[in-house]
Amino acid sequence: MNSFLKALSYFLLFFFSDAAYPSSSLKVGLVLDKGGKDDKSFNASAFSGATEAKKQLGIHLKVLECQSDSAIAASLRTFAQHNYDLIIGIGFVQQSPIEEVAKEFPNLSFLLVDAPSSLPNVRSVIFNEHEGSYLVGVIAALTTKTNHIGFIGGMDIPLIRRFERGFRAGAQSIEPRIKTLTYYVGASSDAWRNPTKAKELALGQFSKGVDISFCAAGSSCAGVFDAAEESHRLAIGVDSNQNWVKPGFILTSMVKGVDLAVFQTIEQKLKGRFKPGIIHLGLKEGAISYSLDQYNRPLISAQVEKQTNAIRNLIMKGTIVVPDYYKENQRDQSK
Amino acid sequence: MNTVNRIFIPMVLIGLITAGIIWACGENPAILAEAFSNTFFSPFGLGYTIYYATPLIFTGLSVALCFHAGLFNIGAEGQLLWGSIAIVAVSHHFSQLPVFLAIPLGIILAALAGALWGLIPGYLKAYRGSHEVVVTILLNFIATTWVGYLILYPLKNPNTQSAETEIISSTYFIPKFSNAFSWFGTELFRTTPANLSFFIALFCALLAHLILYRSALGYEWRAMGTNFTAARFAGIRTRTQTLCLFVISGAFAGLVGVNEVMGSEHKVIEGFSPGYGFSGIAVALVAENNPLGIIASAFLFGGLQTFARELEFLSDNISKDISIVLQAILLIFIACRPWLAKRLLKQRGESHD
Repeated sequence: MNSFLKALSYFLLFFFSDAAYPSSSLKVGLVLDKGGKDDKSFNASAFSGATEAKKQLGIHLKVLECQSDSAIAASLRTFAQHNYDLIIGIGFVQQSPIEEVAKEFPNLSFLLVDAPSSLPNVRSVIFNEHEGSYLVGVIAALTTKTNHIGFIGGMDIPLIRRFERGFRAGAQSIEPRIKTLTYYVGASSDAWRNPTKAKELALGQFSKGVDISFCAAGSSCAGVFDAAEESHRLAIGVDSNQNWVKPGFILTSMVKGVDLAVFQTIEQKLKGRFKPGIIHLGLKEGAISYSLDQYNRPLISAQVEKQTNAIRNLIMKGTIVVPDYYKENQRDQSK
Repeated sequence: MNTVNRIFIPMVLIGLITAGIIWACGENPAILAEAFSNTFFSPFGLGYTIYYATPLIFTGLSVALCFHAGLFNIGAEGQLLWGSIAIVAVSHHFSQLPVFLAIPLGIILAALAGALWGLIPGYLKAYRGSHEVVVTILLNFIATTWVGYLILYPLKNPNTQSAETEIISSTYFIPKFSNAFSWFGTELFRTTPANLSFFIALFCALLAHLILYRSALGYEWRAMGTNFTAARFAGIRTRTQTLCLFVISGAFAGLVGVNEVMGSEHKVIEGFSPGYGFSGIAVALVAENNPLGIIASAFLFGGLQTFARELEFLSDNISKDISIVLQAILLIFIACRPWLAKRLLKQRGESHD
């Protein structure tokens, strides 16, 4: 019975498993976290960077999504087992799985986004989220009419507190008496995809007089955008440029260039210039910014834009030092 | 009607339906064969299949034992969470124990923690008359949030932002296959998390088989399942036995923690279980609650998980949700098996065996 099935599968294999992709092209595997490629935010940004690389550089790309955090290591290993040249892990939850798999396969290269790793075959990219959050804080403070703004974080962890710290500091730099109301969706990783609860929190904030809420909660942010539309208030998007999601209700987005980091790493690997180590990307590198396009143009006046850009230049020059939650609370993450 | 046909014909039909789905997704159905061989005939796939099958054996047994007495344990999911967190807790407090004490202690406490969580629905069913389905389902939610609290606060790993506990002390590690057989010069199932707790699962299945079919206790349980009232009038202490069954079922479910925490991850990751407790119901159903059959059916369901990942990997349009579709097709076929067998028999004019 079994030998028959075995024979059958080998027979089919022999006939059908022709080389599906040219062996010369670079094989890149992308493992997304719980949010999935349609979170319109963090994972979506990574996905678009990788698809762009596929289009422009002609690499072979394969994406795996992980329904649970414990499936990450298995997905990474599946790529490694098939000798993928570059394996990309998106999100801080992938830190320990990537390190585990990178040790098992020292000949392959890995990219880890949002968490540090100092293994010789891992490149890890950390973004200066606080700088971008500071900028959108400035925009929020210049736009608010009630002098009361809100922050909705996903999972209550240092990474997200770093957003909040920067946002609050940016707003206070414009108006020291501004009030910031901070809520977190949850303490577990389900907080990244709980738009229902995020919406409740946002409605709560809006009913307390908040008129602009900055959301840093992955795909949960959809709930905040809904709430903004319902209450006719404004939300600020995160990670990807989310202005198009609810035009007129999204003031701006704090864009984190995950796509840029992914694209550049693939390009470097392709040209044989892959460098391991921890890389910090911020405003200066163009990897962090706020978004301004046709969808939010009517919401941001030329005056606000001018002032924000002036502050951005000061941060880039180092005149303004944005408070960094990691450094203030010397944690392991601030290596 | 021989057994080969009874298994073979549904399998072929399942294969054809799956191929149809794959074809409808715009993929070459031949990837099914490749995924199949990657799942069961490559050391990597087989290692993962064993790793996924191990917890399913435990939860399958947990569900099946209760089924034999006509009771439904839907609470394996909560019981396995307690089993897992108990190991981290014991390692937290007794981190310096030598290996020969640490491993048995971890295993016993995992079982004990699951058993305690099983005691609650057992007691409520036996002495208070609550419906065990409702109680066990609701206790799952309590277990998830309570254990979630323990993961995120008292036992949290301070060195990571992920929702996971600290790493257990290395004396509690159960060797992986790749290390355990290294003296033979082979790294069996290299880079997979398959570990020796698989043998504990096999042992438990054997134990459950012996208790069920070779002991007075098992006889009483099966009598309760056949006719509860008659069993009670025959002098079987149904209340004590109900309590006892839920405790033992809970213990089996708790042992999932041994595979996950002591064997592979060495920590509890929040939400690590992709519904092992609920899949256990399907595993038990497919095996018709036979403890030894559960080993095979756990392999089938564990293999499905690996298979789905391979399919996702080999194709462009198929997502991992295919595993749920495959499970559903499988369950439909299992559910209509008596009908299918009858139809096939009629056509061939054979008599039922």
